[in-house]
Amino acid sequence: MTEKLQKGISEELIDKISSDNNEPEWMRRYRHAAYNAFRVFKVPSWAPLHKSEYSLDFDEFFYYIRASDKTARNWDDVPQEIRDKYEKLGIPQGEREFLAGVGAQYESRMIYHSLREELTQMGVIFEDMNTAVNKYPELVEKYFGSVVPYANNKFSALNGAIWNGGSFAYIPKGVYVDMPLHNFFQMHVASQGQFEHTIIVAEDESNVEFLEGCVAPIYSEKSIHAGVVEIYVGKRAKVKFSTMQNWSKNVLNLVTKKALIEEDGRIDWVDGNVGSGLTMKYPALMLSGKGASGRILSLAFVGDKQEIDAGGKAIHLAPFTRADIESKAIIKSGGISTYRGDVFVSEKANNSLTQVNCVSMFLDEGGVSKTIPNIKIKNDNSTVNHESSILKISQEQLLYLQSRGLNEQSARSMIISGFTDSFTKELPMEYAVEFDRLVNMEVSDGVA
Amino acid sequence: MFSVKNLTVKVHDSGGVVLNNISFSIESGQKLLILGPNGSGKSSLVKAILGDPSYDLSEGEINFNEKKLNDLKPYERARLGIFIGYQNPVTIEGLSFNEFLFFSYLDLKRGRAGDSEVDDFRTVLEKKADGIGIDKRLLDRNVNEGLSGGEKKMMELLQMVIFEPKLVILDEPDSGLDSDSVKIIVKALGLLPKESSVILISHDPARIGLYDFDKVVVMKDTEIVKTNDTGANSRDFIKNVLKEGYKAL
Repeated sequence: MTEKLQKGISEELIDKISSDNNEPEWMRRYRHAAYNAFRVFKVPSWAPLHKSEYSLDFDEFFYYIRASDKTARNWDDVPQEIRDKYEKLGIPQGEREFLAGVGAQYESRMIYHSLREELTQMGVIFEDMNTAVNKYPELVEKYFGSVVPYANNKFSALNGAIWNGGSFAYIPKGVYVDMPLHNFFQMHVASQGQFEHTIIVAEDESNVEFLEGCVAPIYSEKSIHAGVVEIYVGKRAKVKFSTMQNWSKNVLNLVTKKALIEEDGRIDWVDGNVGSGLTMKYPALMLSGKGASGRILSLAFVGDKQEIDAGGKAIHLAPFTRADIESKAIIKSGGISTYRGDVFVSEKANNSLTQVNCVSMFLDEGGVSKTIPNIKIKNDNSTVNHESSILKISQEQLLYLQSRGLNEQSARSMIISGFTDSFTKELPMEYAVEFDRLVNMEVSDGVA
Repeated sequence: MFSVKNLTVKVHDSGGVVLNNISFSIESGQKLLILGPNGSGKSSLVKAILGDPSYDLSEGEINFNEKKLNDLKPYERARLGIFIGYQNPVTIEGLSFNEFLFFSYLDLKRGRAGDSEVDDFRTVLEKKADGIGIDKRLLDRNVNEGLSGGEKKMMELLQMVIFEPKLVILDEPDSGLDSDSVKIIVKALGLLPKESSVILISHDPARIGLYDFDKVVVMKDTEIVKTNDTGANSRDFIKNVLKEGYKAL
């Protein structure tokens, strides 16, 4: 029988989550400690969440719904706007129902199983987080909260208290995983957890690529999404982490993501944001080993009633570390995009370099683009470059492409796809194609 | 085949007249030269033919194969077979020539392209580039991004050859090209179908290696001030205009 669901968080709820999942005692304690921090911490004063339109009341949300308690949504309840988007994107019906929360499972489960066998032979662990906590308690305990402690901020504390779902990936020393790990295959288990907690551990000299999310829009009730991603990159290891976020506009997307990179390790962070009403997300690079490097490449699409407040953080803690942050935004119909970047270069981080480049492209009038860089350098031989610029599609460009036979719509799409090119070429082919289609769709909506 | 009749053009915003009562025509396979000092209206004429929305064709007509162009969109004009080689080609960041030309080609050919051309478009492109002596690596570059003035002009010529237009309008194709590379223009024009007509805007056609034209018009202060429309002695006509200077007109 379905239990009555409760709004808000309480100690009882946390105990219930922990016991429903048969978690070890350390995890139950971790959740309680995080909950205490959540109660004490405040939403940062600069956060756009304070705006009246978001009317954030933490007691108004459901924080825990067991998969078995989920009442299947009826296809007829899914808004027409979302259904149209699936249609235009050519998403198969089974997948549409899954994405809209109508279908409970998705067929790719079989693909996932065969993939897993191959990985197991290499010693790779790739599990949903709830399973991993029980199956590999010591390993998970070692890394859970090690890169993003619950005390990082109010939302990581919220996640620490009530996290559910997410992935745990462990790549042993020297192992090269040549296929991208994709959490999409796990969603039948994690069920698009709003509070997923993902950890990737790439031991020394290993190599892995991880994909999170999907390009197609995901329909949800009004809710908060407060995910956490922690990535450990060992010496000379390489990790590429690609995220695609396309929640419906009634979702507040408040995510904490951080990577710790050891000597000569490398991370490439590719982060696409198309949906959600408000996104606050600042992927952070903790460059803690000599020669560690990282790149954050983000692209946001903000339209009507959408706001993104995002940016990259680069924390240089060792010499010869390097960070490249490229942040792009496409703004239309009054969307708001803020780049909020933090660069910190410690005394020890001699000869370090950070390059930041933010570009916003306006498709029409009325949008807002802001850049708020915060730079601190504690030595005198490191360099931080920050560039920001604003673009508009020019009449000359449109005319040039039209003079080669492309109609105005195609010309506009081509200019935009040129703008997004540095981003899409980092995505796997099927993502890139779907993403281009999505952008075309968003551009043709309501642009004169 | 192509004609401009009593054309008067104003700039939408300012209302300033940029072309005043312009008339000329060209038949299939003919070459027409437009001479004139800077600011005489040559580039405005190109823009008016192109269909630049910032220009208002207040009087007169532009006709192409008995079709009135005045109200057609720029891409509709291009699809009829009109190609404009820009004096200052526009940069489009992030969009490669390869990709851009593929989609343009499909749109311009409108189903007339053979399957093999579409399947192996890159080979088609490379062959044409080889034919006129253009570095194939430019195809992988973004549209005019970081290209030298000369390279931009070469890519305009390559597009001209690929699209096989019925009417070509080249606006100062030699500016930016050194004395060796300028030969590429004649080479590229030689690859056009025989029936293609060419309108050339140039200050010095001899530098390009073009001497004989079926017609020559000379523009000054938004108007056509002199015409040689028989083609007879066009060499002498051009020589005299340039020798006497535009001030004398």
